[in-house]
Formats: sequence, C-alpha cells, structure tokens
Amino acid sequence: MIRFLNVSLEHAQRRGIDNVTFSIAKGEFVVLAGPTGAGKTTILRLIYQELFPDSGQVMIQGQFQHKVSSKERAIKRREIGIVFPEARLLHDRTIFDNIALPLYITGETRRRIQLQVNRLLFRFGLKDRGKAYPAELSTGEQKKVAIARALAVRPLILLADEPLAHIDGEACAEILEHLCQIKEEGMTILAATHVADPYKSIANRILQIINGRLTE
Amino acid sequence: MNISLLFILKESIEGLRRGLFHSFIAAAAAGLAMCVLGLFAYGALNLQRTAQGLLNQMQIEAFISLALPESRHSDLQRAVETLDQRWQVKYVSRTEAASLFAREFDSQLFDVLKANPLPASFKITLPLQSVQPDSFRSAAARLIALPGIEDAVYDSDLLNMIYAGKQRLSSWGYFGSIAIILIALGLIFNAARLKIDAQRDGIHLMSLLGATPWMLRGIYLTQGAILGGIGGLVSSILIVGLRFVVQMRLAGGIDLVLPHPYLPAVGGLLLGMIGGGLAVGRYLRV
Repeated sequence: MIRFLNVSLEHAQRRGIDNVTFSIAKGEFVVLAGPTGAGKTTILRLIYQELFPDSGQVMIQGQFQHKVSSKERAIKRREIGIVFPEARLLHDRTIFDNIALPLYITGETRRRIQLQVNRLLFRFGLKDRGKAYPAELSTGEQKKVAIARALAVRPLILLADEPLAHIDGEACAEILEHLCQIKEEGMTILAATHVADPYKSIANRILQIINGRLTE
Repeated sequence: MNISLLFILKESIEGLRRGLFHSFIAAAAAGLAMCVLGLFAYGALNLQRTAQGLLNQMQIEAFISLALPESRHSDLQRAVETLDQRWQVKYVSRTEAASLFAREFDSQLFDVLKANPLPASFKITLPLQSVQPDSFRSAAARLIALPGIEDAVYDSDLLNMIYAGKQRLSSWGYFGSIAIILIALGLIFNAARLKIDAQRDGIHLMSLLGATPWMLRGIYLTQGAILGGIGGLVSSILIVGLRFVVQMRLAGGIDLVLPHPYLPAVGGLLLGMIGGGLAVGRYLRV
C-alpha cells in the first residue's frame, strides 16, 4: 500500500530524512516513532505529497508519486485521510461542517453528507455536538472530530500525526479504541508519535526513526 | 450543476457571511475605488465634451471683396462649397452684417457714417472630425486663394487654446484612468488579501483535504466579484445621485452626461475578481 525506496529529503533549515526504505501492506497498522524533529511528519507529508523527495521513490497503491499537476495531486489526496497534530479544525464552522468539509470538496449530495456525518458523529460519541463549535469541545473531543473528518470520505489510508498529543488518559484510551476499530475495518494506518508505548498492543509494527534514519 | 461549482458557490457565500467585517472592508475598498475612478472618468468625459462643444462652435469667416458685385455672390458661394462638400456654408449679406454689428456694438455708428462699410461674408463650419488648428489653417488658406475672397479669419488663439486643452484632458484622462485603475486594483487586492490571510489555515486545510487550486481560486474569484460588484453598485448609485444634485444646481447650464452608469458596478465586479484571484495565488502553493 505504501512503499518508500531509499527516500531522502533535506529541508532548507532543518534535518529531513535520509535513505528511508520501508513498506506497509494493505490493512496494516504501523507506528512511526521517534523524537521531535526525527522526520516523522516529513514522511507523512511525502505520502500526501505536500513534499517531494530529493532522491528515492515513494509508492502509494502501487503507483510512484511523481510530481503531478496540482489538480491531480488534489484528487489523489482524497484517497488519504489525515489527522493533524493540533486537530486543525476550522473554528468558524460547526462540528458537523468540519466533518463534512471533505465531503463538500468531493461533491457529495446533501443527503449523503447528512447520512455520513451523522453516522460519524454517532460513532465517535459526538451525536449531540454537531451544532457546537470547536472551541466548545475538549481537546480529546476535537481529536475525535479530526479523526471523523479524516474518515468522512472513506479513505484507503489513514495518516495520523501525533493523534494522542495534548490529551489525557481517558481520551487517549478512547482514541486508541477508535484506531483499533478502524484497523479492524481493514484500513491501512500510519501513525506518527514520539511515544510508542500506547500503541504496542494494537499496532502491527513500530518503526523507529532517529535523525531522519529508520532504525527498525 | 458541476460539483466544483456548487462547492465554490457554497464556500463563497458562507465565507462572506463568516468574515463579515473583512467582507465589509473589501466591499468598501471596492466601492471607494470605483467611486474615485467613476468620478474621474465621468468628470474627464464631461470636460472633454464641453471642450468639444466649444470647438464645434468655431467658424471661419470669409469676407467677400467689396469690389465683387452682389449678383456674383451666389456663384462664389458655390465655389466655396465646392472646396469641401462637408463644409456648412452660410452667406451673410452686407445688410445682415450691419444689423449684426448694430446689435452687438453701436447702433448709432451707421447713422454717423451714412453708409455700410461692412463686406458680405461666408460663415463656414468645418465637419466635427476636422475641428483642429491644421484644418482651420488650411481651410482659411484655400478660401483666401479664391478670387473674390478678401480675407478668411478665425480666432486661432482661442482655437489653439481649446484644442490643446482638450488634447491634454484626453491624455490625462487616459493616464489618470489607468493610474486610478491600478491604484483601485491595489486597494482591492490588499483588502482581498487581508480577508484571505484571515482564512489561510482554512485554505491550506481544504487543499490537503483534496480541494483543487481552481476550486480554491474560484471561491475568492466569486467572493471578489460579489464584493467588488456590491461596492461598484453603490458607487454607481452615488455617482448617479451626485450627477442629479449637480445638474439641479446647474439649472439651465451645462448638461452633464453619464453614459452607461452601470459601468462602475461592472468595473467593481471585474476588479474584485482580478484582485481576489491574484490575492489568493500565494496561498495555493501547497
């Protein structure tokens, strides 16, 4: 599903990744663990094509990621669900509209949007929070909204960057439970984290990255 | 309807509603810019029109030699008319010249002189496209060359002054309009950028969620068109109102023209679109 072949990328002012090679099979839950600045987010950004490698090749679903037109890139991104470290919800929109955003982009009908978002609100225990605004939610609830938004278009791959960051123990357990369910549904998950322990029981593999190099 | 178009329309309208303050600033900037541009353009147009009106009243007066018997004046008129068939030639007899003189100056003068010393003349109006100093000079020269014409005169100083003024107005009108359009575009661009900058996180996020650059650009093109159109419409209404007030004050005076009063609204719409489209450009490199 995801394959990196000797991928290197140097950022202008900080370390990137150096000769990274790994692959993730369909339906696998892989955790990318390493300290801050190790290159975890760089790997995720290479997958959703916000960055391109200096050398080596990135392959997603059997296709090499080439520098394509921005339109094609946008359409490819619709197959990937992304959970950002700070949740990145739009604060001037309701929770319903935040979850529905990718569906508006892909042009789903009003009825299907209603159905899908309500289903996700229910699944994440937020069914009464649809009309609330992000500021009215706890950090844990915001994370759940971010995951729900990533799942809205039923992506093939879920990329989660620090999904447990800034949340307490109970909310962490809930998020892990949701990630576990998503894995069981057969979705490929790559989660980046600086603390791997919480994932040990649910992840198929943990990849260690230090100073831009994988040390599996 | 196309799915991208639906998304663009939805996001545009909701974006305007969500950022009301920035929307108001952008519409006000467009309105102000179109008001200044409209007033300048319509002002320059009316000044030019006034200058052209004055030019159109300029005539050449060709005096007929006193030695030429009156019975030959109609032959001479035909000869003058043959010089250029576009000329309007009006014959002024000696008697008419005397009565005109008496009306304008001193009616007692002819009683003292006991005779009419004024010659008959032709008053020649040149076609509109020929109202310029060179045409007057060459027309006067051709008239003087005709046997029976004593002299051909026109107020060359006045003609030169009005003509040069009109030319200057025309150049200033063009350059001024271009300068104001650029300033207006800058103003609208900055107002749009202010609005877009407040929504940059949303733009970046939508791009990562799969919105194509044209979907995002479309939102700001549409918002620019709506806000620019609203600002332009307000300026159109203000300009029409101002013209009405000024026209009332100039009762019986100059008639101010305001061709296509909807132009500031259309201009605002276009400049809004261009400003919005340009302003969002730098936020689309994701």
